[in-house]
Amino acid sequence: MKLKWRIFLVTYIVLIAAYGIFTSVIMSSWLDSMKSAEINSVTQQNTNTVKLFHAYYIVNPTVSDFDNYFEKFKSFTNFNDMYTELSVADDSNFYVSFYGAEFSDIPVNTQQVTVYNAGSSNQIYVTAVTNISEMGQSIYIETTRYISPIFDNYSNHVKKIQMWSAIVLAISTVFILLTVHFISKPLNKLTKLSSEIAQGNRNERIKLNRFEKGIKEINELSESFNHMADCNEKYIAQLKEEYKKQEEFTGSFTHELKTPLTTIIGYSDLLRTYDLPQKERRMYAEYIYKEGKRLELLSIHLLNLLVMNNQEFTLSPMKTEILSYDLKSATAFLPKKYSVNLDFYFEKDVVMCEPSLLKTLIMNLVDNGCKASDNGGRVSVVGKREQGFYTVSVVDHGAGIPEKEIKKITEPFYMVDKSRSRKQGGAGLGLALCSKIALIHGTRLEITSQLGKGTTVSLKLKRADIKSTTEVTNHEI
Amino acid sequence: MINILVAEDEFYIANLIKISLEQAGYNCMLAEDGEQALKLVEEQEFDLVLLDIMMPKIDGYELLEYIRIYKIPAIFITAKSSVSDKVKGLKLGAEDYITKPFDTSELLARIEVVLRRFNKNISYLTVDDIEIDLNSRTVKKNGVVITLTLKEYELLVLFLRNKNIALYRETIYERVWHENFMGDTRTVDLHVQRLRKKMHLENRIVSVYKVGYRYEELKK
Repeated sequence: MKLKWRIFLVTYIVLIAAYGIFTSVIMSSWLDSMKSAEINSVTQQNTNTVKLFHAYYIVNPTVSDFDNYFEKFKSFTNFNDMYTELSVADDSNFYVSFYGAEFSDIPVNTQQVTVYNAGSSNQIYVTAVTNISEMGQSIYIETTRYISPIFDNYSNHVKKIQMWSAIVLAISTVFILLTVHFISKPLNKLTKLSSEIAQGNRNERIKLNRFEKGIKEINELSESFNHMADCNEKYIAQLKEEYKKQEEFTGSFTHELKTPLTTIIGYSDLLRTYDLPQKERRMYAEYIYKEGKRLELLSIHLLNLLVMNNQEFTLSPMKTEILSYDLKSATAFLPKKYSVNLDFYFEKDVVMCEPSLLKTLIMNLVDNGCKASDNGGRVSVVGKREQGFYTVSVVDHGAGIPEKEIKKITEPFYMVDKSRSRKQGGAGLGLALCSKIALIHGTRLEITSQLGKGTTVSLKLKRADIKSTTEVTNHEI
Repeated sequence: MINILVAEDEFYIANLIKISLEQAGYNCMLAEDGEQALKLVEEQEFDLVLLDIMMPKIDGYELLEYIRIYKIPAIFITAKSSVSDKVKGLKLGAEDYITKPFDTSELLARIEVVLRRFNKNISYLTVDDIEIDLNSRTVKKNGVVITLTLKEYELLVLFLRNKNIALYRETIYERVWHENFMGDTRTVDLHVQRLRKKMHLENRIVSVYKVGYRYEELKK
C-alpha cells in the first residue's frame, strides 16, 4: 500500500471516530441534562400543586362533587404546557395517568416520576404523580409535561451536526490528501533520483520547491541525500583518478620492460642465427648489454620504490661533514663521465635522516643535474643551515625543465625528453624515487627551473636537537 | 621490390626490424617519430607501414588515421598488450597487431600474410639460376622443375633468403622444424645433404666449421 493512502486512511478513520464519539457524547449529555431539567421542573410543579391543593381545601372545605371540585382547582394550577390532573384512588394500587403512563404502586404521601413515550408517534411526556390523603380519600395529583419538542430539537441538532461533519470531513479530506501528497512527492522524487543515479546519471540532484523545503525532515533528508551523492561522486572521481594512474603506471611499466626485452631478444636472435662479421657482432652485443643495463636499473628502482612503500624507516642524526664526504667519494666518477664540474659545499650541522636513502636521493639529483648539463657545465650541491631546518640544494645550469612539466616529472616513468633520457640510460623512475625518499624524511622536493638556464632541486631536512648530537655515530658509505 | 616504412622511436628496435626486413629481401625506411613517418608517407610510396603506438609528436593511433587515406596496409608493433588495446588498434583499421617482444620469424610471417592479402608479396624468389614460386611452392633450376619435400623446400628458402651468411645449425633446425633444438644436428645435416644432391648445389651450400652452412651466391 502506498504511504500516501496509508496515511490518508489512518488519519481519516481516526478523524471520523473522533468526530462520532465527540458528537454522541456531547449530544447525549445535552439531552440528559435537558431531560433531567424537565423532570426537575415537573417534580417541583407537582410538589407545588400538592401544597396548593392542601391550601385550596382549607379555604374551600365543602366538597359536593369530586370532579367538579377538581375542575375548579385545576383552573388555578394550569400553566402553559403543564397539565394537572386529579383523581380519587380506587382500591387497586395501580394508577394510570391521563396520558397513559403506568405506575404500579404509589404509597400515600409519596411522589413518583416517569418519562413516558405514548404510542408509536414519539409523543413523549414527563409525568409526576403524588399520592395524598385528603378529604378522607386517597387522591392522586398528577403533573405532566409534553417534552417531544426537546427530542425534535435534539434530532434537528444531530442533523445539523451531521451535515457540518460531512462538510468538515470533506474539507479535511482535501487537506489530508494535499498534505500527504506533498510529503510523498519528494519521497517519489528521491526514489526516482536514486535509481537514476544508480543508472549512471551521477550529476542529478534533488531540487525541492518552497513548500517541500518547509517540511524539515524532507528537507534534511534531501540535503543529506544530495550530500551523499556529492561525496560518492567525489570518491568515484578519486577512484577513477587512482585507477587511471595505476593503469598509466602499468602501461608505462610494460613499455619500459618490453622495449629493452625486444632489443635483447631480437639482437641475440640475430647473433645466434647468423655467423656475423666481428664488427656487427660487437655492435649487437653492445646493444644487448646497454638494454640489459637499463633493465637492471629499472628493476633496482622499482624494487626500491616497492620496498619504500612497505617499510618503515627511522630517522637518525647525522653530521653533514660525513654526508658531504660520503657523497664526494660516491660521485667521484661523475665529472669524468659527463665532463662536468661538480662541487660540494655543506655548512656544518647535524640533520635527521635515513643515511643511505638520503645519499641515494642526492646522488640521483646530482646524476640528473650532470645529465642535463652540457660539456663543461657546473653542478653544485649546497647544504645551508636555516631557522629550524637544513636545506640541501642541487643546482645545475643545464637544459632546464619547461614550466608545464615540472609538476609531472616526479610521476613514475615521466620523461621530459624521452630520446635524450633513453640515450643516457634513464628509466624514468629516478625522481619518483627521490620524491618518495623526501616523503620519508617528512618533506618534499622543491623544484625551480628556467628553460635553458638550469634547474635547482632542494629539500628541507629537520635539524637534530643539540643534545642528541653527542650520540651521533659515524656513518660510512 | 617491396617498400616498408617502419615508424619506431626506439633506435635499437627500429634497427633490428630493418636488419630483419632487409635480410628477408624487403626495402626498408625508418622514421623516428610520427611526424617524420607522415612526411615519408606523403613523399614516397610504401607497400606496408609498421607502426609503434607510443611515439613522440604523433602517436601510432593518430598516424594510422592519416595513413589510411593513402590506403597503405599497416601493422602495429607495440608494447601495449592488453586486449582492449589490440581491439582498438584493429578497429582503427590496422591489418595486424604484434606485441613486443616479438620473434623475427613471427614478424616476417605476419608481414607476409598481410602482403599476400593485398597481393603485394614477393611471389618469386630468384637467386642465380634457381627460381622459387613462393605461392605455388614450385622450385625451378635452369627452368626445370625439381620436386622437393616440405622440409627440403623450407630449407632451400631459408638458405636463399639468407644468402652469403653462415647460419647456425641450431637455428636452422628451429626455423625449419619449428621446434626447439634438442642437441641432435644430424637431421639438419641429412636434409642439407639431400638438398645438395637434388639441386646440385654441392658447391654453393658450403659447410662452415663449427657453425653450420652458408649459401654462396655465384660470382657474376
